This record gives sequence, C-alpha cells and structure tokens, in this order.
Amino acid sequence: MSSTKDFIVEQIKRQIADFQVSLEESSVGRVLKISDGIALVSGLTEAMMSEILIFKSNQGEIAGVALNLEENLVGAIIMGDFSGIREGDEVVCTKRILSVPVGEALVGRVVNPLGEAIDGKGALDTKEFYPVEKIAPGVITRASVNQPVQTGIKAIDAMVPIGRGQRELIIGDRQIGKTAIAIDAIINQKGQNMKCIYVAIGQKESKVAEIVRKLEAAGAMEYTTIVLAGASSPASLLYIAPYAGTAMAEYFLDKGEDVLIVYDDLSKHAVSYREISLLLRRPPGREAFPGDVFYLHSRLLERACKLNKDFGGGSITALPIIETQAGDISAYIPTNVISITDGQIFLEPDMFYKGNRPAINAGLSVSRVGSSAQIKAMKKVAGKMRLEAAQFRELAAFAQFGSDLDEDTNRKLERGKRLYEIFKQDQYQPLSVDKQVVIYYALINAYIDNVPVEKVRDFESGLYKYLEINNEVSKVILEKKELDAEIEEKIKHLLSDYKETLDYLL
Amino acid sequence: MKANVKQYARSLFELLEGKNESEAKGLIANFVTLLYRRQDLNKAKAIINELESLYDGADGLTRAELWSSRPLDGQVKSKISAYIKSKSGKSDVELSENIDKDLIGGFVLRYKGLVIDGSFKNNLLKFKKQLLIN
Repeated sequence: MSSTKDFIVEQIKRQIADFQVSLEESSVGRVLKISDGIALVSGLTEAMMSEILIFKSNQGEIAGVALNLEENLVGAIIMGDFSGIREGDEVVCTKRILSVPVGEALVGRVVNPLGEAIDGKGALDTKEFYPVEKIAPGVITRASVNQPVQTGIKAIDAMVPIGRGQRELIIGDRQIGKTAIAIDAIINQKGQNMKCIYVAIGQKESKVAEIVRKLEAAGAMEYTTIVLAGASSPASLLYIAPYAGTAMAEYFLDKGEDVLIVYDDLSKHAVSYREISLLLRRPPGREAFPGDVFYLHSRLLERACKLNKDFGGGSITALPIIETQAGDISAYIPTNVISITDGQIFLEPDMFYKGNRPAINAGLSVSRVGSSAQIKAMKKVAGKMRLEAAQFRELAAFAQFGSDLDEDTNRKLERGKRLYEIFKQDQYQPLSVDKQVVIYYALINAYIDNVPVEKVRDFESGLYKYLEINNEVSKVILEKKELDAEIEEKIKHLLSDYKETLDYLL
Repeated sequence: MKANVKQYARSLFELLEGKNESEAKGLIANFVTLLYRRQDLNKAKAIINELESLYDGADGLTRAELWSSRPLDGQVKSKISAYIKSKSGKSDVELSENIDKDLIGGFVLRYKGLVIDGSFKNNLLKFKKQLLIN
C-alpha cells in the first residue's frame, strides 16, 4: 500500500518539476452575441478558418470553432454546453485547426465527435491528432476498386456488390432496416481484416446503446469504433461528427489498412448544418439549406478511397445512410448524395411490410463499381441475379391479371418466388460468402425448383448446417475463390446428397 | 455602394486633419447627417473606436492594459513598455494599470487585440490541466 502511495507522490513530484512556465502571446476577442450554440466574437484579428477558439466563461473553458471570418467579427460554433457563456466573455485563439485524437486506442470504444471517451471505460491513451477537415486523396494516389467488402447480406453481395474504397448509399424511409444493413455489414467484417467506424449522427442514445450491445455480443467491438453525436448534442457536434469519424479512419488508411465507415445518417447531418448556417445568417437556398450543402457531403464522401500500392494500398469504404420522407428520393439531400456516391441500396416500405427483409428494391439499387468487387465464384453464380429479380417483379405484377401463362413464364415466376425467398435474411445473421455461393448455385441450377416456396427457408438453413458438417466445399471456395469444374462437381454432389435427406420435395 | 466602418473612419480622419475646433464640429455634424441618410448610424460606435486607433497610430501611440495582483515596480513596467514598443513598432506606449487580486501573482497584458497571460492563476490552471491529462 505504502509503495503505491510513494509511487503516486513520486509521480506528482516529477510532474511539478517538469512543469514549464511559458508566456505566449495570443489573439483575444470578446463575445458580442451568443445564441443557440453560435457566438459572434469581436476582435480575434488573427483567427484562422476552423481554428479552435477557447471561450473563457465563469464555468470554465469551452471550445469553439471559427466558421465565419468577417471584417470585424468572427462567427463561431460552440462545441458543448454554451449556457455558461455570457456576453463580454473573453475568447482566445489557439492557433490549432480543429483536430481529433486518432490511434489504436480508439478501437472498441465509444467516443464523442471531439474524440473524448463516453463509454465510461476511462480516458483514451492517444498521442496523435488528425485534422477533422482534410482534402481528399488526389488521382495520383488512387487505385480502382478491386477487392470486395463482404456484407454478409445475400441480396447485397449478389446484386449490388460493394468494393473496398467504394461509397454505397443506403437510402429508404424511417424504420425499414437501413441501420440493420450497416450493422450486419460491420458484424460480418470479423476476420476480414477490416476496421469499422460507426458514426451516429442525431441518433437516439437508446438505439446506439442497443447497437453497442449487439456489436459486443457478436464480438464486433474488437475492431469497431463508435462516434456518437446523439439527438441531444448541439448541432455543432452533429456537424463535425462525420468528419471526425473520417479523420479517425484516415489514421488506419495511412497505415495501409482497410476501413469501413458508416454515417448514420447524413439527412440529420444536413439538417444540423442548415441550423448552423441559418444562425450564422448565411443565405438559405432550396429547402432552406445553404448553398454549400452539396460540398458539405461531397468533400466528406470524396475522402473514401482506395489507395494504390505506392501509397500503402489502404482503403476507406463509406456507407452513408439517408432517410427519405415517404419514399421521396427526389428531394434535395437524397438527390445530392445519390449523385455523389458510387451507387445506392434502395429500401422499399412495400417490400418490408410484405415480409421481404431486407427490403432491397432490385430495380432501383445499383452499384456502379459492380462485379469487379466480387470474387470470381460469386460473379459466376450471381451474374444476372439483379436483372432476374427485377424482371420477376415486373412479370409478377403483369401475371396478376391473367391465369393462362405459358410454361416459360410460369417457370420464371416460380424461380423468382424462390429467389425472393432466398433474399430474405434475419437481422444480425450475416452469411459467409461460401454459403452464399452454394445457395445461389443451387438456385440457378434448378436444385430448388422442386422445393415448395414456403419451405425454401427451411431448405436453406438445413443446407447451411449440412455445409458446416461437410465443410470441404466451403474451404475450397474460400481458398480458390473461383468455381472450376472440380468444385462444381463437388457442390452438385453435396446438393443431391442433401436433397436425399429431405421429405418435403414436390 | 455600402461603406464599411474602416472606410468611414479613414475618410473622417482625413477630413479632420489640420482643422480647428469649430471647423471640426461642423464636419462632424455633417458626418452624422451622412450616417443617418445612409442608415449607418448603428455603426457609430465602431467608427469612434476605429477613429481612436487611427489617431493613436498617427501619434505613434499604443494603448495597453496591464493587470496585476499588486502594483508593479517601475523597472518591470518599463520592460513591458519596451516589449510593446518592439512588437508594435510605435514610439509611445500608454499603460493603464489595474489591480486584480484573483491573479495571485504575475501579470496579464492586453494590447491591440492580443493578450499575454503570465499570471500565477493561469499557470496553476495549466498545471491542473496537465495533471488531469496524465
């Protein structure tokens, strides 16, 4: 006991001895006006754009960021509780651009957008800082997307494959499983050599707590950081949250690692930026968003990239989420973000309520990077899946009117029904790529045609168990990543063996 | 075209140069009417501040505020004045002294929108922050 006491005393002594008294000249100003997290400050003639300002109120020091540099004034947003700041309080420049702590210590933690731990597991041990705003890597440094991100969601990996370094938007109305897709994708990154960052912007803290619990249960917090700007955080924190998350991702990018970052969601981010802009008296435009709301998101998403080998070969894959109102994807922010990203996953309420979950609309969802982000085996079995799914939906709508259909149409309809059954997948149950290859192989080669539609899911889960027991096929697919004649033979063999054990076939 | 505070102050400053008191009074009255017509009376206070600094600049004067916990001796003050002179490049310094017991020791110097906080209070706060980080 006494030795620990001595140790503490020694440490304090050393810190007292090491403390350097320094005199620094800094630019000061005074608060002229304070309202809703925005302060107008006089003076501060040397303030820089997005420089950290320290507000000295009688409740202690509060950080802010300079956003408007005007002739006689500086407009600043306040990063925290602004209720203690009074008119006339002193404001000091720090000569530091807004930056966040980065490093390995952040993995497995929940932090606020300033990089302070908020999960009650103690302070973070970080030495490095990265600027929150940074210009995206240029053309010379980039490579084309060629490696897949396995989301573990059958419909996505088959129809809208996502590559490392891609930006794929998840868009849809409230409460139809947008976050669920992102969380499943994070859970499936286990053992895939991927760091994950989940940025919650304006989300309910209860929802985020639930997500943290789920990720912990799935063992996904070992490689995940959560950046939380909750619904009760001021707009300034919501505004910097995605940039801060990206800065944390860039640390791993610079080390040549792959990162998956989810922005949940950018609609609330745009709304918080609109709030700040209007309070700073910037002119409003369409839907009262300021003129630079496109740049707000384009500069953020442009930081997602795949670097070439000379620059470390790391990547940042971005999954931004946009919430639409009543399925309106032609509103201002959705169209902006659709045009910025390399494709979108469109979730449809009709499908969701019919029980097709995840409710991915095959016609409107695209991935502009496409099949170059799939392993060869997947490419072979899922090549035309998106087209087939879209065609089935049209045929099904048409077939409602008549009962006399030719054999070919009937067959397509039956196949389509089974395809949609296979697309169904429960939450938090991502599926490894070998199993996906086998189930799609079974579908396109007519192994499922004589399984009753309502039994397809039983067939599926049985098949996966069968695969786990006879795991040779899985191993070969994961190793070779392609389907040669030998593996095909093995899969065929496995499927017919499995089907012999079933008693519900037509 | 809208004129800004600095432009107003500079034009008034140049107009008033070399004028006697009665001439100046007339000019200022005209200036106020001009401000009223251009709906810029709300800028009056800022213009006065700007004008003051223009006059100080012309006289080679820098105003500075010095805060300390107890009166400082002449040697320290002259050193501080010399520092400000070297920084601002002006020949004259007007130091206004203030006492603030809360500072405990040392001094705080404010001039031209800059502050040098060498008070004991500030250093203690810095030390506290460092202890908390480690």
